[in-house]
Amino acid sequence: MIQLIINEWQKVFSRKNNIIIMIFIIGIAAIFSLMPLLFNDDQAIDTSTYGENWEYEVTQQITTLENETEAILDQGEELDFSQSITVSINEDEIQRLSYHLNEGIEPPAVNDFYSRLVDASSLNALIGIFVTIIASAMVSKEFSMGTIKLLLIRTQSRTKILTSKYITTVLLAFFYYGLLYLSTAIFALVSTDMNPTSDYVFMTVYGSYEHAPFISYFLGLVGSNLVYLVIIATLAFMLSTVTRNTSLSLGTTLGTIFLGTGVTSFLATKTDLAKYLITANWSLENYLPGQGAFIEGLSLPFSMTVIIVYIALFLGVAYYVFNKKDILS
Amino acid sequence: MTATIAINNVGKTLNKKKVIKDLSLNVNAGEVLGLLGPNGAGKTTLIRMIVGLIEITEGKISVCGNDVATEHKEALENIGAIVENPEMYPFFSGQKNLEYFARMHTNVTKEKIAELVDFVGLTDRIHDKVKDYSLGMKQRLGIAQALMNDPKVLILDEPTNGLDPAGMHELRRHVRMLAKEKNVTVIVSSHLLSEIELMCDRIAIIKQGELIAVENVKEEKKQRYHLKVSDIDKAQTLLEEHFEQSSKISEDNLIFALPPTLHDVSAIVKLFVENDIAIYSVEPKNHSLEDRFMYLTQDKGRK
Ligand SMILES: Nc1ncnc2c1ncn2[C@@H]1O[C@H](COP(=O)(O)OP(=O)(O)O)[C@@H](O)[C@H]1O
Ligand SMILES: [Mg+2]
Repeated sequence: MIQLIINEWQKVFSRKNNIIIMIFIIGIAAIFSLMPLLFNDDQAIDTSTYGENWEYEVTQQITTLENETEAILDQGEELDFSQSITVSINEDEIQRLSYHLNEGIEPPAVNDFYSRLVDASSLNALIGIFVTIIASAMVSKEFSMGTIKLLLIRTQSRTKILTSKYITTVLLAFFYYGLLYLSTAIFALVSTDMNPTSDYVFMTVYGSYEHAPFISYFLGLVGSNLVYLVIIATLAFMLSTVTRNTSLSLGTTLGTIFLGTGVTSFLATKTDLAKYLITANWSLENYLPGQGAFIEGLSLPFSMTVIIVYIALFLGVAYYVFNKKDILS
Repeated sequence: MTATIAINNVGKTLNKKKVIKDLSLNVNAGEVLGLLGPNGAGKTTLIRMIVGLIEITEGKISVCGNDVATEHKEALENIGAIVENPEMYPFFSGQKNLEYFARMHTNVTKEKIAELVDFVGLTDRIHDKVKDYSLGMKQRLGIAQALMNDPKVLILDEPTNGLDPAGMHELRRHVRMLAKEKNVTVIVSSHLLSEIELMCDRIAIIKQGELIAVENVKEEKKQRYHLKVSDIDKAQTLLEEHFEQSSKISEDNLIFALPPTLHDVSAIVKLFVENDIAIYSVEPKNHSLEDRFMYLTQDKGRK
């Protein structure tokens, strides 16, 4: 089996697609991490951290912000646009700093490492697209090249061949994700300041602040991202196996990625059955602390069950068809 | 002893169309069987069934005693094949392709690969990408790939496609060598008799999915003669008595076939003359199998 996986891996890595994708991932991570510096944004180059006496410094900061807000409000005139923005930013900032003060957690610098890593997960959909490109060609390409015959006239069973391809697809999804995070982390080390504590403070969907140990929050995020990628990979892989048509698998999976969430939200307003759709359940990060469920009534165990059922279904169909259908290419 | 490849009453339906009809055929160890038929006759379809790429709708095929449908792994262990076209990964070099397939087998060493590359005469170009290969080179690489597991059965689907005369000659030599020295059972398909005639022991002629004739090439390689003589029955008796040569009579012709080295036709003419039989014509017949193939496969309605 290892030999078969090595073979699959070698094929992926000798394709131009894969090289372009890897360059893209590293490039995106670089832009994402270094862009604020290039734009010469005041905040981006603000590297001020707190000293020994951070509680005093934070209290001072809060007072300054309060004074600024008061000065604006005391003018008595209508607030112009930039003034009202300043007021609302100040309010948020005061709320955040007070939370740090109350919980006894030293606030990080403006550009902190933890936030950069958490924010990078917004690029996961992009990784999903790259995974789709590879997964939707995984089986169908062998048919279009005619090489499927050479794979199946050997002693390995069809099940084994398909398994090696599926494992490779999932490993590749993890590899792309790992590459995104590795390059983000490396760029973040030079463009952000390391956080002073192991706690991560974040704003909830209700506008209040909460905190959690960064490691557990981050692992939860990574886990949900990877589950999403596995779902995408399995869907594209199944379509590639069943339709034997790369473009069709690619189009269908990308369509699901782009329209899935919107269509599901719409359907959820019409019928309760929408919660059984894979697209209603594939974002497990909705269950991270501070997040809200995508549709009323969904829960983590429910979503995980739905995901497992769908993946089993996709794979069941893929294996059945691959074992059954005549190889006429 | 059972045949190495036993095809028993096999039928295949594709899209509700019977593509192979009740076909039975045995191929013995060390034998080279030609599968001859016009395009669309069903040669590739039959080969796909032998190697388990498609389901056998009716009947049964066994290879080295293993049922292809139920003992797939055991049957495939003994087979090396090219099906339809020798497609390889175009983005790999020839060498990388072979290493790739080697990983799908156990115990295929680097030396073995080098040996195969040498055998098919690709040593100079083996590190070039396959996308830059000619069809002939791909055929050679395909043969190397098919021989990787030292198969007892070698199946080559239209291996002469894209080969130049020198390549054709070499293929013939290879196939004969494998059959004679290693006792490999070979099936080669073609739509042109002339391209496989010289390498085959027997030729099975397929037309529209039906096996219509199995011809013994060795027989047919004898020189056939058509003689017109005055006393045809006496001539036949003489032939039998003096040379133990069987013959048949058809349309006033005395027909017999002589192995190239056994006895000269002149000796027979001499015998007839000495026995007062007048000889009107002696006609050597060439390409008898070719004629027969054309006759068997042509569309009767069209002519
Ligand atoms: N994918 C397919 N679907 C349906 N019919 C097919 C397919 N491939 C081949 N056939 C039919 O099977 C018959 C035999 O084809 P094939 O075995 O390729 O012939 P050959 O190899 O002798 O040229 C043809 O009549 C062809 O139309
Ligand atoms: Mg064919």
